Amino acid sequence: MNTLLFALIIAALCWLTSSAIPMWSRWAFYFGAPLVAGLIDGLLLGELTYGLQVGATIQAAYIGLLAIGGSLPNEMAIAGYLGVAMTMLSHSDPATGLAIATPLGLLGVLCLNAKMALNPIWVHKADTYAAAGDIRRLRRMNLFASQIVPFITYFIPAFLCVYFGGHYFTAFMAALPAQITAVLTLIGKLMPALGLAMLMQALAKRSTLPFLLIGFVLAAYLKLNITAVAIVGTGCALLHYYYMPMGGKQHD
Amino acid sequence: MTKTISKKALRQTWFAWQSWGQICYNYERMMGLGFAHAMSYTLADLYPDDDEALAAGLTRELTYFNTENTWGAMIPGIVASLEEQKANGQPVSGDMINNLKAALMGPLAGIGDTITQSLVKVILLGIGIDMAKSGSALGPILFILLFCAYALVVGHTTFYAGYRLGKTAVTNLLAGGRIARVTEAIGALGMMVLGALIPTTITVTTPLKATFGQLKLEPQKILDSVVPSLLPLIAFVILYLLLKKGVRPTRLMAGLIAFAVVAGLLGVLA
Repeated sequence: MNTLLFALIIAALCWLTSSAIPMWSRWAFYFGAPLVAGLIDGLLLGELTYGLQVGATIQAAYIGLLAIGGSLPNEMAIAGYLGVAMTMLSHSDPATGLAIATPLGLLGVLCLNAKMALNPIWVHKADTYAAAGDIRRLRRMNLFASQIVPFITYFIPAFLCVYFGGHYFTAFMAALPAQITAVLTLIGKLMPALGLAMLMQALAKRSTLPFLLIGFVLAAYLKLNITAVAIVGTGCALLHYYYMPMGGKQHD
Repeated sequence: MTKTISKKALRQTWFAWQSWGQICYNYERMMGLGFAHAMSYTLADLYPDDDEALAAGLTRELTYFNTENTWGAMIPGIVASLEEQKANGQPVSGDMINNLKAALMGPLAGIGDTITQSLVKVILLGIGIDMAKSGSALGPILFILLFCAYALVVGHTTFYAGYRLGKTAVTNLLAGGRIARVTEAIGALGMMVLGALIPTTITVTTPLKATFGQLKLEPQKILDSVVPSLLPLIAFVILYLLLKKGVRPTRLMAGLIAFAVVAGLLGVLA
């Protein structure tokens, strides 16, 4: 695919999924950015299977990541759409993809912070329109003015990164010694442990701890896939619900 | 004559909230402008030819607001019903609406963040990743469809419940511990999926090999015969205990990278 067009699409995806598209769809397109990017970037580059594997591998590291009160330690849209694109452009191993996506995602937090810090400009303009009862202008502030900063902080850097950086990045990744690549891959394999530990921290309850053990055995010993585990888990959740004392109080 | 919000205006309020509630997210008022945008449909419907009341209403709704978008949709629903009562001359003050918003946004964000992010998202992602890893494009597609459907169905339900039940909505939701039981049960499902994600997403192994004369030692094979995926389990438990002790995630990430550099260069782990 044409580099210019590809760079424009990736840049637009970073901008739109982070800031513009309706919130009910952003849950999927933003929090699942690497997974969805695997599909879209894979289709665009004509390497669907490779794309899906890169996306799934990067996404696994972010599975436990929670945005509580709106702050994330990593920018998902950048790590996802840009991270998968850069990984694929450099023909890196899917496991190395995470080592490419994470630093990009960390830089992406700057894009996010800039947006959050500068958007009050439009809110103050909206204050004036609210006081004048001017609904149309108030909505315009919310829908369109709010896109000025994200366009600058997301679209432009992502475009430059893919359009001008893709070529150098490919050479850079190819020149890396095998030992460095091995370390990057190991980081990618260990990172999901941190995400899952964070998730555990959010979910941990003595009353539901037994289900963690069951889930582990189903996957580690019986090699069931996640869909099968989710079905067994739904059954167990229903049993847990029916046999719970009224009021939901457990022993802990 | 009593005023009622038209069905169309109510639907527009719901949809604007779920679509544009946090499009202008910012540090000063978070979702405040999005809330006012959503409420503008209700207010325009209640005050078609009273510009002063409309302006006062828009200003009233443009305050600090931050919650979780799907479960928190109950709040614009409740506020719509309060605005309707206010327009009918009932004793609903602007302060009361503001206090109610401030009181509800935290608890609903708590419920919403837990259910949407640590349960629904994780389970749907787990399934999607599994399918994508085996090369099926259906993984991400199903993930998108199911997550969007979840957001719209939950948001629609909570918004209209909020409107119908008004102020009593959240009290009803929290009463009798029903929501606590549901959260607990979904938590069981979440834990089981989490347990299954440990061996499937943490794929670290040891490439160590040693030969003593005739005896060939392969630590990974020994580990596998004790407990499959033992190394991932150990990594998970250590990180969880450190988090529980209060070590910050950013520190842990730096530590993890340093550890990987050492273990990778020594060839202990791969």
